[in-house]
Amino acid sequence: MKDNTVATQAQLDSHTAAVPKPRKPVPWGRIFTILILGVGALLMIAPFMWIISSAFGKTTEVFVLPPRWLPQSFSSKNFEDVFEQVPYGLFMFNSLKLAVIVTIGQLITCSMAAYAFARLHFPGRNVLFFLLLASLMIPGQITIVPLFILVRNLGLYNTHLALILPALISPFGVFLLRQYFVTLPVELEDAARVDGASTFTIYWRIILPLSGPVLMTLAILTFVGMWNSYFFPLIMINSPELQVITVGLTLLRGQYGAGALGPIAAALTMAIVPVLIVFLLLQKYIIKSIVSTGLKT
Amino acid sequence: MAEKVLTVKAMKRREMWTAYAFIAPTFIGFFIFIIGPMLISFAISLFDWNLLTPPKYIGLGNFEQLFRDPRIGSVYLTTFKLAIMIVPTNMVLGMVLAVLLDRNMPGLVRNFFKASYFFPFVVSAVAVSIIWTFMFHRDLGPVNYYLGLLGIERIPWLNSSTYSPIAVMIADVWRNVGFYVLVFLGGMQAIPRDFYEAAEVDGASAWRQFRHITLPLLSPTILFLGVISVIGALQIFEQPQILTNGGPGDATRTIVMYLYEHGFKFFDMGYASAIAISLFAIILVFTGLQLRLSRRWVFY
Amino acid sequence: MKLTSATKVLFLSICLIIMVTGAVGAQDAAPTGDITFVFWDNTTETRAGWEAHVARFNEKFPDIHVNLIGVPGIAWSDYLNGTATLIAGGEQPDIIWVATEGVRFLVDLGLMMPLNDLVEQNAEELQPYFDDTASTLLDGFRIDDSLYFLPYSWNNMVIYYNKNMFDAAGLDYPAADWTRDDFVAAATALTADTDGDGQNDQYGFSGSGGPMFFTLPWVFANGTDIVTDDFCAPNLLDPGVIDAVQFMHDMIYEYKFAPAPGTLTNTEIQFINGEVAMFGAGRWPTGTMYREGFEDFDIQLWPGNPEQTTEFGVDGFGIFQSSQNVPASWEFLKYMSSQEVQQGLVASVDSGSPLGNIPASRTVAEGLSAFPPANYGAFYGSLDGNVRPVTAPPRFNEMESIVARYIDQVLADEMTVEDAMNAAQTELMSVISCN
Repeated sequence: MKDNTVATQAQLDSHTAAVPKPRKPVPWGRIFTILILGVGALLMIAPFMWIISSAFGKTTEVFVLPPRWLPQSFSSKNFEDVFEQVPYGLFMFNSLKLAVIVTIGQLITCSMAAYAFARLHFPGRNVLFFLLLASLMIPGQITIVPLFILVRNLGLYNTHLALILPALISPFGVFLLRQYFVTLPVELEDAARVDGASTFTIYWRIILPLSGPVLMTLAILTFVGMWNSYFFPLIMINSPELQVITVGLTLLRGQYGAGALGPIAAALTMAIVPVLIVFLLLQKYIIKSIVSTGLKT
Repeated sequence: MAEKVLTVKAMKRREMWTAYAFIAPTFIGFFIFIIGPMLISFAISLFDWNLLTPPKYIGLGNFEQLFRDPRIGSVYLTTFKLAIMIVPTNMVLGMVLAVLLDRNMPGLVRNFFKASYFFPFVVSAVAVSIIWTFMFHRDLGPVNYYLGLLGIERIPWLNSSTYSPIAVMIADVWRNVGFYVLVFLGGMQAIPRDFYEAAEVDGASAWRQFRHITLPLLSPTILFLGVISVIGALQIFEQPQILTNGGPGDATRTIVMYLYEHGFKFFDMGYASAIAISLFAIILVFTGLQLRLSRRWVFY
Repeated sequence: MKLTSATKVLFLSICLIIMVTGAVGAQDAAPTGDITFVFWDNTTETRAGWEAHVARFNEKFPDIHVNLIGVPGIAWSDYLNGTATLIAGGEQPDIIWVATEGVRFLVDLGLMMPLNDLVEQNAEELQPYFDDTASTLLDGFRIDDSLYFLPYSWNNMVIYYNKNMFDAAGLDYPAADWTRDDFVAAATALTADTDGDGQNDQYGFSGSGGPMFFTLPWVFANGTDIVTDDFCAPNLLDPGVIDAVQFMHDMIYEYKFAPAPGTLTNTEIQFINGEVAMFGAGRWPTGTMYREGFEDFDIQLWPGNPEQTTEFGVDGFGIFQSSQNVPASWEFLKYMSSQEVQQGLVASVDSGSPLGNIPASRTVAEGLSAFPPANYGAFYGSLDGNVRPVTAPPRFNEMESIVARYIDQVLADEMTVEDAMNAAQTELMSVISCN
């Protein structure tokens, strides 16, 4: 598979485009395929529609049957309730800020390490790489107490740095990028080296530009992971003005989980819609990049 | 040029230092935030420690407890059961959907499908789990409502040892399958078209083409997804925690939930660390096995 | 040098005067310095409420700086976990807000300071507080004659009922001395299949199982408890306990007037919508009722079987043994227990107080009359009848988790009550013991 990697993007595009075929009677197979995929897509979208339309209804109408898939009324009461109960706007901002910083940080640290593991020769390379891989198997929950003690001793407790610093590196990211880098043709690098380019220049000018899709994949996975993180912020942060969206969501469930569900639907909507907008704007690139990860593994 | 003057040895040394500089940021963080805490965790597993009063050294006491604990077996069993339900479902469904998406259809429709299947993946697991707690509500949820229209009695999705694991699986597959679809799609699109054309000339059926071309050439992708999804599935936490809280009984209690319960609810950090180490060992064995067995079926 | 006895006396007197005035002066000087207060923080309202209290406290004691640490959580147990993690990480809080569920845990570890001496030194000042706080509430915070916390607010378990639904069914509202049989009769009559699809969609009662607080009222109504009174052994095989758990099961599967429990419930809204006629809770749902503008409900004491016993849980403030600034902490503690602060509990929905709990002060609790329910007297008044605090041995979290795990299996109709209670009893042996 290594040999055909260069052509992949072009190949992907050419065969994705519908190729006109000689007229056939009725393309039953194709209709059937689209039908199955359509039902599947509906199942993926419907729960979101339901939550969003519930959020805009009255608190007392969240759970009406038959379920409402489209908003019947536009009331902002549930949203107001959310902001009355928790500083949700701040939570969203904090989540976004953390996710962006960590994503950029991981792209830098992971790509540098991955390049070294893919191309450079140095003592201890295999041992260190194996160590990274093995660490993927550590359940994150268990290091929380030592990590918490560490963060406190560094004076970082209840700061965003407590969430950022440990997340700046990622063994998985190094692994993902290294697998991609080793498939890149060496010729370009050799040529650059002959021209006197430094290792850093090669990494920065040749490797990174060639790795757009996989970097994008890592960026998405990191961003999603950070946006997703729940356990860590729950323990490391105690000021509401520093708290993140996932913790805010669970707090809204209220004492004994018996609170009103309307505000929860509103909070879910606010957690989903910004992601949805960004996703729709970038989906072409996001999907392409994930697909291209499949090309390389 | 300067390089030419340098001896091979000097060049090697230079490359070495460059490499160390490149991996330094990762490894500084790695040792401080992953290896260090992990070693401390190993140390904690030798103590009886409730977080609040000084720890007491008890040697391997926590590991002995691990073997006497009547619940740990069933919790591990539940964890494996969930992994066995989730991993193949994600893989098979992901592959089937990828095969269907790979067929001929208007580009716009294909893009719409890809986007719809992938979108839940970018929504947080916490949000997805809360949505499914709504969906699966016994009396008021849409799932039972539509099943009711088909004449099926209300199913206690979140409160039954038969259905709760299925509910957890559905919520997990719903969120993650899109990722598998896209990665498989990429793997399929990397397979040169000539192979299929040649097979078509030979009159091979679609199934035979899938079986003898797609599947073997997709094996590295399958291995990659297999390894990361097994590791992920053995560590599943948020979905059962929010959907069922592990119940009823231990029907959906995973090992990480059990570890969390002992560490952060019962204040038994030593035992929680011992559980984590056992999980670490199990994941290590599984991954090792997968990689070893893969030599037989993965074609590079 | 030889001193006359007169000079001696004079000298001694001067010494004494200096000592006394010095001591008095020290006592008069307002405490200063930093103190750290840990509280359960789950909403903006909560924090704003505490900040307002601190601001008012600082008007009196401008030189005490109160450092607020809010620990988030859905239940008291989450909050306790968060606090323990904090302390493990090296934080040294001075004052903690804690409920019955966590009291024995903290005291057993020797983390809390007995307040007896401080109370005695301020006996006169605190007399009105003790006179106005039901002794039952204080008893919950007294262990082996030492008082560890001063009560702030509390909750009992009462039955909320939807008056419209009772009217529509032509039923009398529950009487103060009603029994489990009356409850079953009413709940059965209020259950209906309104859309005729063969499955109930209007329930007489909702909500049992899950947290300990929701399970115990049925056990207490049978005149027993899930552990022995000395917290030395589990008591799950007691016929009264078995009967209570069986009843919780039968409400769902035998009488069919209650829905099976779930992890996320919408009970309060279903109640407002007329889909649930009764549910059990403390004072906390009144906030939702108020926000939704729903007033056609009232509350009644928990039905007896046949004797009534009301469950309650109380929360309050205590000082950590490790506190470096006891004088300032004590001032803050006294202030936080005052009527002025508890007043914030009454009008929770308007002014933003923590949980909408019942104030510990009887006088302040009278203020509840300004809001529905009309029978608000069933809140504070229940303390004059039979009451029992939520069962909270030192290892409460473990006990709750074990008992809930087995009761959930009973309520899922997957285990018989006898099997479940036998298994739970065995498992609890190591958790509830005095050895």
